[in-house]
Formats: sequence, structure tokens, C-alpha cells
Amino acid sequence: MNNRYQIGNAQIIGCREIQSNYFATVFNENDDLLAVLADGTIDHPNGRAAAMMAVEICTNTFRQRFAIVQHEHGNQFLFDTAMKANSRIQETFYFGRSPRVSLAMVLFIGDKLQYFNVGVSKVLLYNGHNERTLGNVTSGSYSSGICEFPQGSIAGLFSAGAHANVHPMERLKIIESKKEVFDKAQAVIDTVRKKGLDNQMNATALLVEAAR
Amino acid sequence: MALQRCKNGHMFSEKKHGKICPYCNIAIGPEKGETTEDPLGQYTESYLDELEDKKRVVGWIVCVSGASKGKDYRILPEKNFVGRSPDMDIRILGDNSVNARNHAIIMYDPEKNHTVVLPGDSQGLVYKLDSEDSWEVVYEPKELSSGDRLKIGGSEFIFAAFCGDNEGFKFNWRDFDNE
Repeated sequence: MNNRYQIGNAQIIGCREIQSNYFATVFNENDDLLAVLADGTIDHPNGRAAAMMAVEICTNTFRQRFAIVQHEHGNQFLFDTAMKANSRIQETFYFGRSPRVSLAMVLFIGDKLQYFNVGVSKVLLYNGHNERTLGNVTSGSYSSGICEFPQGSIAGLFSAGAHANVHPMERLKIIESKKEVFDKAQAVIDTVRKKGLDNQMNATALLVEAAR
Repeated sequence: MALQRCKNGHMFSEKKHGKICPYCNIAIGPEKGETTEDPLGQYTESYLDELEDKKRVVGWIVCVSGASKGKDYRILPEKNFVGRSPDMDIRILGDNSVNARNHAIIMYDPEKNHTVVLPGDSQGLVYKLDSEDSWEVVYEPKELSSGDRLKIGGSEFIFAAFCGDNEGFKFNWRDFDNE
């Protein structure tokens, strides 16, 4: 694994029958990192397929094209990639009920991160002792931006099931603990699991830490 | 804890899950010096993604106006049914004025080495731009040559031949089969 970033992830299916969250992290040849989390329609076969398709399109486009895109155009790249994923999903799942997909992407380049988020997933940034939500997503819109990502910071991509059922203080306590980032992601999802909620949705936590 | 990272970037515990990623079922690659045996098992059968397309392309239509503007569609030997349904050979998406099934038929005849357009058995009409630049309804088979324009539903297409006599460029797959 790359020494610049440490990655942790965890996932549970909750009370659902289909795991419709899918995620990936991928490095390109310049050691830039893309983390993607897609959340498809609940308990719908197309939801799982659409989430996987969205993630694969994002990672493949990143692998093939991002090296030739200027870094300052990262946000445009993320937007274009999301539009491409959406168009492919609409084309493929043309019949029947269209799956709705939440897509969160974070691009890590050196000591900066660029994010794009549409839907119900959350992108959070832990810097020092604070939790900061990147962008405020409203229905039918998306958020994107760029911010500093200094050493020791942690960025988290959380599906709705992981975000809504863990109190920010619980999350902060886990993130601030002296664990490896993989164990922190597991601990966040363990917290969700232990609550044993009747209507627990699929929950996924994907953390990326800038190595100290 | 021994962590593994699959090619999709999923982190997982090797102790708990072995060499197969629990998120995407991909087996992680062997270390240097290890054998390349696939822990998922040796496949002897062919699978969907390994199917080869045995039919050879004989031409294309390219959408120049309509919902699929810029998209190309391959024409294969014999009949190519045009519509929106998944079972159509040429599936035009996004234009609801194209009938779901058999709006038109584009047929390549290997014997005569030419391509023709025919009306389908659905309600919609197919138009071909004639020499006087007016749209003419296709009632009977009409031969196509490169550059011919077709209107199917609300979309417009230009035909480009690969097989056939195309202004001096003559091609037929049969010539290559006999070599």
C-alpha cells in the first residue's frame, strides 16, 4: 500500500436482504488516491448493480484518465465522472424502476482533497479535534469543493446507515483513539451493529488517513 | 493484524477472510515466488464475459440527431432489427418515438454483398433521404450506400458501409474466408 495514505473500511448489511453499498479505493500512477462510495436503492437488485457500476466507472476513469487531467481541474473531473456514471446507469437500467444512487467521491492529491457528493452519503473531515461535514447536500443537488488535508487528518465517507446511527461524539471518540485507521472504521461499524436497530440500513465506513 | 488490499482497494483481514476479498470476491494476487493457482477454483467452462462475437461487422449507422447523437451502432450480417427493446439488434435508447420492437430492419445480404433498409412490422415509419433532399418513406427494401441518411422515430442516422461496393472501395468478408 502507498505510504502516504492509510485506508480503513468496514461494512454491514443491517436488516436488509441486499448489500447495496459498494466502495473502492484506487491509486493511479502518480500516487493520487480516489475513494468512492456508492449507495444504491434499498433492497432492489438494480440498486446493488447500479452502485457497483457507478464505482467501477469512477475507478476505471480515474485509472485511465486522471493522470492526464490537470490537478486543478480535479473538481471538474469528479463532476464529469459522476455524470458519466449516471448516464451509463440510466442507459443500462432503462427498463423497470430506475435505481437511485448516492455517490460520494474524494480525490486525495498531496496535502489537499477534492470531494464530490450527491445523495444521502456524507463526507466528513477530521482535523485535530473537530468533525466537519464537507458540503451540505440537499436533495436533487450535489456538493463539491477542495480543502486542505494535512498529515494526521482523516477523511471519512459514510453511507446513510453508518452516518445516521452513530452520534458525532461517538464517532469523534473512535476517530481520536490511538488505533490503526482500519480498526477505527471497524469500530464505527461495530458501534452501529451493537445498537441492533430494527430498521438498520446497509452501513459502510471508508476512512483515509494522511500518514504522519 | 495482517491486512490485505484487493485490487479494488478494499482492506480486509487475511486471518478472518483468507485470500478472497469479502466485499468483491476477488482473490488477491500471489506474492512473488508463489504459484498462480486461482483459489476460487480452476474454470474449464466458458462464461458470459468470455463469449466471442462470431459475427463480423459489415457497416455502421451513426446517430447525428436525436437522443443518442454521436453514438454508433454496428450492423452485422443478415437482419438487424431496430427498436428500443433489449432483444433488438440495434437498440436506440432515449428516443421514445422509436417503437420498442421492429421499428425498422437493416439487412446485409452476404450473397449480393449489399445492405438494404426495410420497414419493420410495427407502427412507426422509416424514412430515407432521397436525391432531392426530401424524406421518403421506406415501403420496400431500399439499398443503402455510404452517406445515406435515415430517419427512425425522432432520430436521424447516417449509414457507413464496410462491406459492399463503396465508391471504389470493395470489401467482402468472403474474400478473406477463402484465403
